[in-house]
Amino acid sequence: MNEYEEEENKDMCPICKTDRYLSPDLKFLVNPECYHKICESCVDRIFSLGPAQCPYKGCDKILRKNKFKTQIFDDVSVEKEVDIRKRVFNVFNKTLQDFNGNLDEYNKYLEDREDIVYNLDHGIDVDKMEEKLRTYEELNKQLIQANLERFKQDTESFKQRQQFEKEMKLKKRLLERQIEEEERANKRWAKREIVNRLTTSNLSVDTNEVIDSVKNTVKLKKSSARRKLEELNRVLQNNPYFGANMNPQNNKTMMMMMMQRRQLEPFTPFNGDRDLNQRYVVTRDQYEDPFIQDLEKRKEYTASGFRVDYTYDRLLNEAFRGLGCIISEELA
Amino acid sequence: MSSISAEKDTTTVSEDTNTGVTNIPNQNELSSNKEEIKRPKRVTDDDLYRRSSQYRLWSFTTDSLREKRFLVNENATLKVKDSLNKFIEDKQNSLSDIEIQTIKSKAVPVTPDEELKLVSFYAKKVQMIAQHLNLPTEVVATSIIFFKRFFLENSVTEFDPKDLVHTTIFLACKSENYFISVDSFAKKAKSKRDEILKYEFKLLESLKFTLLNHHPYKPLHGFYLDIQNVLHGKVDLNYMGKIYDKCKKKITDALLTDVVYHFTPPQITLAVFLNEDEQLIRRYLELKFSSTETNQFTDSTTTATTNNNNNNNNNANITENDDKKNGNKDEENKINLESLLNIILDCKKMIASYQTISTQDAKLIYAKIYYCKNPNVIVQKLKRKLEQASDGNSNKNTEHVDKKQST
Repeated sequence: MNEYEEEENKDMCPICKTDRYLSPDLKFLVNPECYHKICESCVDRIFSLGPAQCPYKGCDKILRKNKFKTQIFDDVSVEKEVDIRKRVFNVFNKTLQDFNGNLDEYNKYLEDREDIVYNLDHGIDVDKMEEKLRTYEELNKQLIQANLERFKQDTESFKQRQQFEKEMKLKKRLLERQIEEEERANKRWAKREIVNRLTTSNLSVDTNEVIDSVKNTVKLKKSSARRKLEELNRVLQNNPYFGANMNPQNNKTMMMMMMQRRQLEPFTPFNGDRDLNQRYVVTRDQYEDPFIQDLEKRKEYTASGFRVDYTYDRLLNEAFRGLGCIISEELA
Repeated sequence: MSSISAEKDTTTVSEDTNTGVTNIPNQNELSSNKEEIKRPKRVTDDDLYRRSSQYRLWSFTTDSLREKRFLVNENATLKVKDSLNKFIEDKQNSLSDIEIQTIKSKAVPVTPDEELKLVSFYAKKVQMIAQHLNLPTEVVATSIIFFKRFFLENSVTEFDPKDLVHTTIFLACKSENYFISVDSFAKKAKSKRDEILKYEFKLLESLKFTLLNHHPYKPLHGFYLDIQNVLHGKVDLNYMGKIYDKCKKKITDALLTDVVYHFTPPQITLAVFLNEDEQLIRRYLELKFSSTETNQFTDSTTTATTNNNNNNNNNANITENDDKKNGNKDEENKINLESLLNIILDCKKMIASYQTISTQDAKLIYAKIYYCKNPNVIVQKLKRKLEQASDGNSNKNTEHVDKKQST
């Protein structure tokens, strides 16, 4: 019955029957205890004096006013899962670094965490899971706190970086506009200067020479704005990680990563260089292959990048790839 | 929950590559701090094949393949026996002794051999249906391979092979980039949309989500070209074309056998070629692989001249020397002609040993599975028979009647 009503009128508070038509600023709140939807004024009215029972029929949960919040997702089950996730993740917040990069352990940890979320969400062994959560929290209080702190710092530094980037971009755009304007002014000046000089000079002067000399002076006029822009670009290039904004610890890891990257070999798609001694040679003119040779003559194939020698190479490559693998010996 | 496991899979994969990469700088640090990089072993084409899922997950030795089939069968038989015992226990009161006995005699779990027979019977069906639908050769081949791999992971007693025929063909179409919508496929194959899609995920799961297949068709084309090059002027091109066409058909048949698990695509191709024209292929392989090796020596070793002299003197020494040199240098990429020939001959033998399973045999095996799944039917049949007998029709040809009904 309740459900039916809810679906019937989404914008009506089931407690006081006010709806959006009469009070347009109606706001619904839910409590993570039972996720029943109650309008703001009802919450004020019922729970101002302290904890009280949920006004929904058949719901005997005791709710507190300070736990009420606005519903973000339309679907209550989603809302519930997101809440649970938030709660569990705040406690189980180890990162890969805490496991010294041991992926297996970390994956196991994640799996455990996911199990807890799933069980809590689906009401399986809730008591046991809550117990697990509590004991874990007790045992790892310091670590959890440290991790939370770190997340906070990370997000802050990220925000700062974004802010910095934004400012830089703004500056860049301003400078660019300035340069553009100056260039336009310069052009205008050059035009006028040429006309002026030609009118004042006598006939013996070569017109082309005058024009060239004026243009040269314009070129030499490198505006201060341009210089600034170049400097800015240089700063951006030299400092891709905005080191100034990072805390010293992160800076160190960043340095380590840079060092490692320098030591690494250049990237190769196969994790190592290909062996260049092929077992075959592609000799186009020796092959008689009516099918492929026909394709070469057709425009729609050549236009889209069809190359006969590539095709031959690929076919031959596949012919000799794996020829030396002796499965019965290698897999024994 | 499945999304989690998938996530886990990807992370473990990335771990592999990570360790592969991070090992390299460590080695460098150990050897020297300078930019002197000790190059890791070059990646050969064979290595690339060794990294493919076809090699890693779907290649077996004969023993491991037999063991795998045995295990799958054993699991299924245990389940069947359990359910049969349960059935007999549940109806302990209503069943007579004769009925229990007939159940025990008729509902026998299938052996690995019988299972294999049924699968290869239906694999042939898959091929025929796929060809009937006018699908490209590679799609046909992929559907055969998918079908076989599915029943390498699952038992026929758990999944009716009939249900998977269309599913595999449909999935093969998709994975080979030959797209047909489900509805039009269902219409063409005279099946139903839901039936086709019912086991699709199960199929994908059993294939371990490895969808890329290396078929012998491209190697066939490659060898067709390379033979023209190596035996230039010595081979008739029209004749080569004919052989090519014949081999293409033979390859599809070869895929029905176990060679796909024991040999690499080029080896299968050469075996099929060899079956067609043994002399030609032998000559090709000899020219190809023995001559290049001696060439290699003249290029690389200083004592090549003496070696060459030896070569001329006696042939027995050559192979020994070759072997030694191969062992000394890291020339694993070189091919030993003799062992290659042996592999190819083995492969050829295995292809030739293929036997088509008669419909009669397949039906008998199928009936066994059917009885195991529905022991009720046996009881009902027995009752009907008894009724008929008591009606006065003293027709004691019970076995005959039974066979008719089972088929």
